[in-house]
Amino acid sequence: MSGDPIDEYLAALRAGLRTPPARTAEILAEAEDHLRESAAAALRAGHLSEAAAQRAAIEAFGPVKAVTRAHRPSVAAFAAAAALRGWPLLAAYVLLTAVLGALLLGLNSDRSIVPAQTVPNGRNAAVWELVRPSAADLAATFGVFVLVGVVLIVGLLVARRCTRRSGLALLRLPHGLLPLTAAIALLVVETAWYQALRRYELGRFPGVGGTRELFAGSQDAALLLELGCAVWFLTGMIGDPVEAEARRRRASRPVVTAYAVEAGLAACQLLGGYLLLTALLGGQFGPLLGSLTATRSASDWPYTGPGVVVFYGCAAAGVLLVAGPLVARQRRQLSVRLPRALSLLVAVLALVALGFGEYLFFAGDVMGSLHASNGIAALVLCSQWAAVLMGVAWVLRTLASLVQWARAGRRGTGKTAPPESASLASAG
Amino acid sequence: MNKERLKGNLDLLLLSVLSAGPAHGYAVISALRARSDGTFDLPEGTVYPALHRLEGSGLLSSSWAEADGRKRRVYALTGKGETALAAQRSEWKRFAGGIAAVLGWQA
Repeated sequence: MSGDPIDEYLAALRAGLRTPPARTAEILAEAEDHLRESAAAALRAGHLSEAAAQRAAIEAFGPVKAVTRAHRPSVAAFAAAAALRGWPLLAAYVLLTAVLGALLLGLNSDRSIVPAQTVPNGRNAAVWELVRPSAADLAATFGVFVLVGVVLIVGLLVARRCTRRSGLALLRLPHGLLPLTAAIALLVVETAWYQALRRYELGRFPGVGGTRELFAGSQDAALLLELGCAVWFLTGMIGDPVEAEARRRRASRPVVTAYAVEAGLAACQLLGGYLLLTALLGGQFGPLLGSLTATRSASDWPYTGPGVVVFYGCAAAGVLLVAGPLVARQRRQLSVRLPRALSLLVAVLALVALGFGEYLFFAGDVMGSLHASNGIAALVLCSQWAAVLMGVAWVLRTLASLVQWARAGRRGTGKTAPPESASLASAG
Repeated sequence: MNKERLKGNLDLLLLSVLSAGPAHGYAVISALRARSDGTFDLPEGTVYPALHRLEGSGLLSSSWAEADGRKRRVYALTGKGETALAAQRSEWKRFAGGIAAVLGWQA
């Protein structure tokens, strides 16, 4: 805390700006030049103290909110940044679909399982046969995906080149927005492929060699990327240690209420992430798990009756609990950082307690004493996996942040490098 | 002074100030305030996005210089900016003339 009003104003401005790092550094450098010159002019003109002159310069410059709003990018810039950042994920999904589909086909000795005839709606039986897909079938299924994937990659390279040439900098998206949105979108895509696969298996579509493997590959690709995005998001929720340190330094005398608010927000995110991951895993493995506890097919959707409410409730509550604290932190601008070791301990203990409690619940259900529906039982089991996954993600992220902290200390730059001065020094 | 009305004409005002020669942000804003006799008094920090936008449109160019140990961005009017300024001046003159005539301020 320097006590210099201009430094404090610039720190607040930095926290409020939603522009790419290089552009943020330029804006801050320009603002600092303006404020220092304005303060110097006020000092020359009147009988003001240096601090009063700085405050007058800040007042003339405008409130942080007004200035950041003026720098706020347009919807088009936001859409362009989201599209360009999500593009590689889309290309990866399409190509991974083709790769996993081909792998499934290869595992089946290049033979595809196809319904022998189209079965009208209302009948739940199909005659299956193993066929070796023709070149035309492969072109119509895998070929289309490979072609789309290649087009997407080429398009991405062209778009990036155009962006570089035009000198336009991509907008910085809100922290965690891309992985969270991608995970939810992939869950929707995965569910759609699941439905398509099921209809194909029931003989609703004409049998074309390679279709089933491609559908299954697409579902698996969506699951892999979905879990990757979920872990990416969850690990990012602990936050950038450098940014967290900068926030801590900006905060003037953190009080108990600030710690309480931060602890509440962190707990909300922990619970939200856990519910969201439970829904993601439940969406994928629910049908399989539901079939283990009852005499039903592995392709049946287990969430019926109260299970529907619990499943979609999990997903919705997860999104709200995760997104709410992100927005709240953004609005508060100043926040404190909870002790890392304490956060980790509480998070891991909470996750272990949740996992254990659910294990008891699940065991009770299996023993037939609780009479929970198959969907709820499957969801409870998935939530145990979610607890384990989150615990691992938390520990890994904390270890990574500790290594980063230790390396920063060894370089002799203090606990963390000062982001403001570093950015300003590198501007231009 | 209605701030929205001022914002609608800010581009013309900034281009006009910079037609006198290259200047950095603080100088541009000071000149704007001085030449308008304090009438155009926007929060200074909100003028910079307009300068950046004009630069993005190619009407201004900018370069970084060093002053008092600080980085300073200096803006200058481009050829395209001069053309745009001339066009906007001419348009504004017609508009102001029309308004003045309707209000009965013209002899």
